[in-house]
Order: sequence, then structure tokens, then C-alpha cells
Amino acid sequence: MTTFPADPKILKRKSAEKKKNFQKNGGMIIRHILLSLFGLVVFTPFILAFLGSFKTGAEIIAFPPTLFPETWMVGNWPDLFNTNLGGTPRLEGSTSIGLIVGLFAFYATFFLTAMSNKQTRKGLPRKIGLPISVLLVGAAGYGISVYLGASFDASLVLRVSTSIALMSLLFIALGIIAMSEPDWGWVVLSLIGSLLIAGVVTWLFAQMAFSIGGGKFSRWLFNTALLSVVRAFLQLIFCSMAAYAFARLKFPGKGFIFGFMLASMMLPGAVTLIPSYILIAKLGWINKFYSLVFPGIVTAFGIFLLTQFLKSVPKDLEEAALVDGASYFQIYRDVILPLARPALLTLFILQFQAMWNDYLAPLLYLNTPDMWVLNVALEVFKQQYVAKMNLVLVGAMVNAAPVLILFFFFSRYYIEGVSYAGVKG
Amino acid sequence: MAAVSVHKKSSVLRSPKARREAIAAYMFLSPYLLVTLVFTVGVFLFAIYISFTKFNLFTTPEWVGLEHYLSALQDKKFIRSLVNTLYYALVVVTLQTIFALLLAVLLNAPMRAKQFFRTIFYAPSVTSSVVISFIFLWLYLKTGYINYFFSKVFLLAGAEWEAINWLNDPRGLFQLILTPFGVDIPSSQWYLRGPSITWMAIMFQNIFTTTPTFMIMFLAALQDIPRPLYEAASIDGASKRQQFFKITVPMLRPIIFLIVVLGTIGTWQIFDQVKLLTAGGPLNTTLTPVYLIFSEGLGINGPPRMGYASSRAFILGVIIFIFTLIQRRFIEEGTEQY
Repeated sequence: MTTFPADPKILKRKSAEKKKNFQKNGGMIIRHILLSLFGLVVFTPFILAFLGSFKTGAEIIAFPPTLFPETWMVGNWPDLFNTNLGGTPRLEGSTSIGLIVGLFAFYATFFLTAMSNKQTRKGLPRKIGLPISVLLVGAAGYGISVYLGASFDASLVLRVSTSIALMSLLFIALGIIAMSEPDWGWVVLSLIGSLLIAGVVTWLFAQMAFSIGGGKFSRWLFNTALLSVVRAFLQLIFCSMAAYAFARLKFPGKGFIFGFMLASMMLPGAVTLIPSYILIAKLGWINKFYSLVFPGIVTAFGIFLLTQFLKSVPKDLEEAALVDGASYFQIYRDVILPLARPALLTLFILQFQAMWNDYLAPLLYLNTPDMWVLNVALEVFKQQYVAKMNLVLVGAMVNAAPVLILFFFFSRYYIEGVSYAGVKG
Repeated sequence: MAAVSVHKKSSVLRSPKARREAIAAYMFLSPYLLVTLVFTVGVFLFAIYISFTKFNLFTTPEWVGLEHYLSALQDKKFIRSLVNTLYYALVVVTLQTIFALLLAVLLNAPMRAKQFFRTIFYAPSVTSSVVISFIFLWLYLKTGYINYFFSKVFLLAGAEWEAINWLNDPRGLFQLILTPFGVDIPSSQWYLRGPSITWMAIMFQNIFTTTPTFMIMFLAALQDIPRPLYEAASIDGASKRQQFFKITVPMLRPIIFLIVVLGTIGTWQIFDQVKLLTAGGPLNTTLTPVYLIFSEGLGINGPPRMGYASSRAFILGVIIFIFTLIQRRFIEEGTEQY
């Protein structure tokens, strides 16, 4: 990733030209004043809203508006978490969270431990490990298809085709792992572990959800955070896999697929809005988090960003690894992933923000209070508490805070991601 | 990219090593291919089919041929939404591109506070449109800060400011300008009335949030312009303004094109602000195609009309495509001079 330092040579030369200095300084001051003015304009709405969130319901709509609240109503903030829009949590919500967390756990355990670059212990032999893994994956796939079967209006054809699609996704993951000749004991362990985690999370979450209630602000915060983290994380894995293939491997059809991918980035989302909704509805994914996670586990933008990054990184390390007889998966896992860490962080942050800020898709797919994300909930909240604009502002602040905080800490990565995708495209 | 693969195609699968590489590559690509086949290609083809049918999710699709497309010309609501969005795209894309470029040029100087300003300016772009909309909803109240600001400014000029209900005012811009001259535009010629006050309020809000993103892109592109170009120009006695129009702008042409295209695709699909702030009102002056597609397709005010909505989505897609082609032409023609 490039940063943009001022060229020291030019700076030196400039300081030498004393004649022009006065004029330059004058220009600099005007520049700073203009920028500060604009910064003030940009930030004023946030400051006003933050101050407004401490006002009383009457003060906030009074004329003339004041800058500071008359009395600081700090209680507005806890009040937000005490409001309840009703709605009972449903078990399906918990199972969809459990299964997604399980999938997350599987990839997390496998890839994160793999990324630590340790020599794998040769424990369980392939002859035993592979069949056990296939059986486990098959069982998980069967479980999913039974679960889908129990869900209401999906037709037989769609049920079968989704379970095939899901199972093939799981088997693809297994195939990629198999290519790396891993320690099978570890694979079996992480499979069993993630199935267990899925079960335990479902149970725990169901307990928690039923005791808290459906239409609570803390629940929406949790939903939003879970979806944003899980989706961004899955995207790192699947986008980096595709990016590795595009940036490093030769295969027939590469130019076509890459071109297709670039073209698909220009396709307006509005065109596929209605048919996507129909598809999700027919899959029985309405009101389940699958509808937001699965279509977004890999995006053209993410692949493009990582491909461009990988192309700019020298190949020496991998060539050495290839000579040593490493498999493609080993190279991907042990060389490419650690190399791409800055770009991966950029992608994670951008995608976390994209899911957190998404409004249209959650509005389409999630429609009971217990499944809402903050953006959708906030609108309903606004309608119900129309006389309490101060609480709505508190809600808006709570919604904005995590992304803004993340942004202030990692602003370099944000900005590089945006400029990288733009300029190098 | 394409040249490489075509060139090597004949020899690619001959050696076992090459074959292994290709299999590995497709393994790595398989999740993307699977997702994109279902959620992009599949859904796109399905959209074409649906747009030729009458469908409401519960019945079987009924084939109606070109009916939805032919009725588009008489569809008053749809045409209205297109005209609204045309105004919107023209104003927002123009202003946000100019502001973004100016800000980037201002920021593109060796100075200490650069990082700080960049971070501050970018903040509205990372905040969710829902949050920004609610903040503006409150600022735009009749008793809100924006009316207060104008009343103060007018007071300085010795005039009185009549508070405006920003988010519920259908009066058009051209109508407001022409009324003092005794010109009255009848409501049958609504398209001559110009964007309504409410629509302009939403335009302002959108420019506020999208300018920073494009500013960052411009800034990155500005860094890539070779310094010697400016040095040579200033030795030849070119003024700052000449340098800007003769070096900066021509060198930025490709990124300007990209930003205008991205802006066009974005503005033609405006939805969030309309859904959150006006629901298409007042008097349909903020109705947009995506809002129409959403509300008709899902049946917000009546039975869902998914075939109708899909056909309108396709027409919208074609319009966006034509706009990008025109822009490309326009910007590329300019490049040839240099």
C-alpha cells in the first residue's frame, strides 16, 4: 500500500527560495482557513445531533434552537436501551444465528490457526481423517436440508437445489483443505468443534433472546454487529481465494471470468432487486440471516481489491516455496494470506462498514422486530417515538458510533481502500 | 489480462503441472463462481423472464409479453420518477464532482494537518445513510437549525425569513423564480416547475455525504501526476490557474470519467433518503424509480406487481447504461486534444 509523503527534495528547494516564501505562506494560510471552514460545515450536523441527544423532548423541537442543552439529560442514553417495541423472539432466529456462527467458527479455527504458520503435526492419517470429514460434512449438509425442509414455503426443487448448493460449498471447502495435505486430526476436530459451537450458540442464544425479548435495542445492536463481523470475515476468505487465482495462477477462461467480474460491478443493484427477493423468499430465507450472509460471502469488489494488491507484491517467496514442493493451498495459506494482511484489513473494514450501513437489503429481508438490524429498527423506532426526537437522535448516535470509532482508528486503511479501488481501476 | 490467457490457451493444459494449476485455480474460484452463478447470473436471467410476466410471488407467473414495457410510456408515475431523478443526477453529479475536485486540490499540498483534514472530511461518508437522514430530518424541521440559520442571515440583510417546511414543500425551483414575474406554470406542465424544495433539500444532503468519497479518489489520482510537469510549466511562466486547467484537469480525465460514472450509477438508484424522509411525496416530487420498484414490487400500497417492477428496473438499467456511454464519449473526445 502506498502512502503519499511530500517529496523532501521539493520541500528543500522550496525553503531555499526565500523570495517566494511570503507568497507561499499567504497561500497556505488561505488554504488552511478554507479547509477549516469546510471541516466545520461537515462536522456541524454531527456535533449538533450529539448535543441534541442530551436535550429534553420539548427542547429539541423548540424555536429558536439552542446549541447546548438547558439541563443535560444523560438519562436519554440508558432510556434508549429500556424502550421495547414488543415482538417475541422466535426459535428460527436463534438457529439461523447458531448455524452462521458455526460456519464462522469452522473457518476461523481452520484459517486463523493455519495463518500462524506453524508446522502441522502429522496425527490422524488421511485414510481415516478424510472419510470422517466427508461424513461430518455430509451430516451437516443433511441437517441443513432437513432444516430447510421444515421451513415453510420452499418448493421441493428449490429445497433440493439449495441443500446441494450448500453442501457443495462445504465440500469445496473440504476439497481445498484436502489439497494442502493437512493434519486430519485437526480438520476433524474443527469440524466437530464448529458443529458443537453451532448447537451451543443456538441454545444459549435462544435462552438469552427469550429472556430479553424481541424488540429491544440491545438485540438490534447484537444482530448488526454479528452480521457485519461474520460477513466481512467470510469475505476475507473467499475473496482472497479468488484473488489468489486471478493474480497468480494460469488457467483457461481467466480473462473471460475476470472481465465478467468487472462488468458485474457495473450492474445496477436495482435491476436484480425484485428477482433476488423472489429467490430469497422461495428459499425460505426471509427473516433469517442467511439472506444477508450467503449472497455476500464473496463480492466482485473484494476480489478486485485483493487481486490488484497481490499483483503489486513480488512473487519471490512463492516461487521459492513452489521449488520446495509446496502445494497451491499451502502457498495461498502460508505465503499469500500473510503477505496480503494490510489489504485484508482494508477489505474487512470496508465490508464491515458496508454491512453495518446497508439499509435496503435488511429492509427487504428482515421483517420481525427480533431480526432487525439497527438501520431498519431505527426507522420503526422513529415512527413509534415521533414525539421523542431526542431518543431517535440517541439511537442515531449509537448506530453511528461503532463505524466512526473504527474509522478514526483505521482511517488510513479506509482511505487507501477507496483510493486504491478507484485509481488503479 | 485477456491477451495473456488467449495467447497461452493452446498450451495451457498440455503439461500435468499446468493442468494441476488450472484445477487448483478453479478450486479457489469455486465459491465465487457458485455465488455469482446463483445471485448474479441466475437472478439476472430470472429478472428478464419475470419482466415479461404478471407475477405476485404466490401465483404462477402469467406470460404477458411486452405489455409492461409498452405501458411504460404512458406510466405517469414512472415518467415522473425518471424526470425527478434526471434533475437529481444532473445537479448532484455535477456539484459533487466539482466540490470533490476543488477540495482535493486544496488538500493536495505538503502540509501537516493533511491527515487530520482528510479524516474529518471523510466522516460523513462512513456514516450510515439512515443516521445522516435522521440528523437532517431534525435539522430540516420548521423549528430546526437550518431555518434558524437562514432567519439569522436574512436578519443581517434586514429582511424577514419565512420558515420553510423543507421536507414537505412541493414548490418547484423554476416556479419560485418565475412567480415574481407573474408567470404561472400549470400543474399539467409539472416538469417545467423544476426540482421541488424538498427534492433540493435531499440533493444537498446527498452532496454532503458523497463528496468526501470522491475527494479521496481525486486526491489519490492527484498524487500520481508527475511533479516535473508542474515544474516545467511554472518555468515557462504558466499561472496556477493555467496549470490547473492545462495540466491537472487533463491528467485527471480518466478518474473524472470514473467518478462521474460512479456518481451517475449511484444517483439514479437513490432510495434510502426517499424511503426515510419523504416516501416519494410531497405531490410525487421526490418519487424515484427505485422507490417505485420497491413499493410496487413488494406491494407496499396494494398487491405486489413484480413483473411490472422488474420491467421498470430494466428500463432504469438501460437508462443508466446509456448515460455512462454518453459520458464516456464526452470525456474521451475531450482527451483527444492533448
